Amino acid sequence: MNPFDLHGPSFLLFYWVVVGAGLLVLAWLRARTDVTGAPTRVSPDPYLLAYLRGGHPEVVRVALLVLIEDGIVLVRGRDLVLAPDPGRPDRRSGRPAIEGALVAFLRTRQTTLDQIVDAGVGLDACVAYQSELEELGYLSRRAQLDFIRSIAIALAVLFVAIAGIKIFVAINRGRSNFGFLVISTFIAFALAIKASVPSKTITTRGEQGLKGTEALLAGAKDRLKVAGAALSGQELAWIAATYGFSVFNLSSLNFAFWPALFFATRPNFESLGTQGGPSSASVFGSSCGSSVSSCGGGSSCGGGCGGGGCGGCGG
Amino acid sequence: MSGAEKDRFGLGWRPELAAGIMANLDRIDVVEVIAEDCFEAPPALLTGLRALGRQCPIVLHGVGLGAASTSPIDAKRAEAIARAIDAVAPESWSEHLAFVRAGEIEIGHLAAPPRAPATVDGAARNLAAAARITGAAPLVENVATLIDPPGSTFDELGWLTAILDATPCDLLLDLHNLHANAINFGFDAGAVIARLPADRIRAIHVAGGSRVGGRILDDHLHDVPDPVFDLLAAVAQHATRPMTVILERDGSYPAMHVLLDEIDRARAALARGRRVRA
Amino acid sequence: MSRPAFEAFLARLYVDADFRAAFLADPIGVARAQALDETEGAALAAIDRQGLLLAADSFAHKRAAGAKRRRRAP
Repeated sequence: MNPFDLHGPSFLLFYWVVVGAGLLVLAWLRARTDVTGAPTRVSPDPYLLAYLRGGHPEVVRVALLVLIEDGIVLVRGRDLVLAPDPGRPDRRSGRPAIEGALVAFLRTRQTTLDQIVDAGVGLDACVAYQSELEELGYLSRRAQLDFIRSIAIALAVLFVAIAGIKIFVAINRGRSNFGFLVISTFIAFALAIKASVPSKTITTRGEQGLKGTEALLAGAKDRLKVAGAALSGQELAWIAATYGFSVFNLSSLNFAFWPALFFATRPNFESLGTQGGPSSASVFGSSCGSSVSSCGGGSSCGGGCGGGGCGGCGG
Repeated sequence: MSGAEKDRFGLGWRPELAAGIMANLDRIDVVEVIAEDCFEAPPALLTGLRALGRQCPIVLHGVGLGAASTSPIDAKRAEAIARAIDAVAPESWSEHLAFVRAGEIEIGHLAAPPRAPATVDGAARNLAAAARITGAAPLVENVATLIDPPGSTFDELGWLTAILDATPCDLLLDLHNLHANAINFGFDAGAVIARLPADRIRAIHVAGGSRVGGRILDDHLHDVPDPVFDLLAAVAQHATRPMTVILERDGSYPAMHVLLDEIDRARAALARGRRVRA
Repeated sequence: MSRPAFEAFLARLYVDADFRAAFLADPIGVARAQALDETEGAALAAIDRQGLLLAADSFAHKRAAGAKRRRRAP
């Protein structure tokens, strides 16, 4: 039977069965890109975490924080400039690629965070983070997402084509009652195009890994409130990578990086699915509200959480 | 559960130190997590600790079992430790040779029991029960005390040795506790170390304390004093098996590099002791 | 020597200020009132008094710190 010979509601039903089947296939393919199961390990690299949360822009911000706190980069208002060579403090050897890229970029200019990100400084380094996160199962594999995008676009074209053929046949037969079909086509096309762009690329395992690290560092975040906490640049980087920069709002301390590490011209969202970061949207900060306590309960015996530790082994 | 195959150095996991620990995992061989912190911890924290354990070995340290008592331990607490072990997958676990409650009274911290045959027997029974419930025998740690426990018929060395003889548990030797007790009650800590069964010392704690009422209180709020590092070198001369050395700090946190420097001092002290023995 | 009743007596000395004061005033009498035997009473009468006061104070601080932490935890 030729489906294009179906009339009115019958064809609409056929059309929506085809559209439904196509969208189900897309949903099934999308579900296969998720990775579940417990996080395999904690990364020793805060930049990996920053990339997971916010992609390349967030990696740049965290790396600049480290360079500023270490005295390699100076802040002048919103501008960032490399510290003069003779006075620059020694830096640990084996500097991560992202830091090296930023230092190289700043050798020849004074610039802002927005300009650095727009220039794509450090994108090469982020390719490695993308790969590692895909291997860990924390991000959906880009190749799979690209495949789904291709299928979705093909389906969108197919939906339009089917409707187009039917409309052509209808017109040739002197019919003009295809209003509902036109509306259905728009809806089907929109749904297929929407499915071509993933709402998020972070996997279930990645979200658990992020939550786990947030839980681990909750107490460290609280230390920001303590004047004289004497946190190193690396420690601040871990806190920023885990929670985002809004966490520094909690502190009354005067951080050197403060004016320079917030975007002026782009939203301070960490949700950048196109760059590989998760799209669990957040403003300034982490993808999770981080109301997770570091622990609960605790012994009646001097131990327990909140830094009590053993409390000393005997009274 | 497994033990160290080479000397390892680490510190206690404290939430306030988390960022510093994560930032310096290349200088930390092992992390010690308080068992009670896991009892009612949110699943995300347990997930995080388990994942951390794949990066850096974790050992679990209990503070509330009260094993060194003539009263039996609370099986529910041992079961909670067992659940913590399942959740976090540590290499080993440890507890204190202390009592923490008696009758209906919670002391609120680790108290030294009378050093007597009855508490040796009690400790042996309780540690056996704990091992049965958790699936692994713990290391047992000596405690510091501000009071010479009344009713004691053993000295500290005799009591510790008797417990080690009566159980399969190895010793987590807390050197600051030993140092504090030696100062407080007038004995030679070095002599105790020399006479402890060397093959039973598996792990070491180092910590700092303060003076209170003329005695040393093991409060874990101060830097490790020089005599404790000297005792560590003495242990290294006496015991040949690989050691896991943990720095305990529970508050008044200095900058992370200060704690890492203390860990490095411990490394150097152990190496110094090993060289003397060689 | 030790047994559960003796340890319970010690625990009470560590946490109960009034009981501790009564004990320090009359150690043998308080021990006897708690059904401890003569040997136990004698051991308690010879207790390290300075240590007892220091330990009790330390335990009190630890209990307070523990209670504060538990109030802070959600």
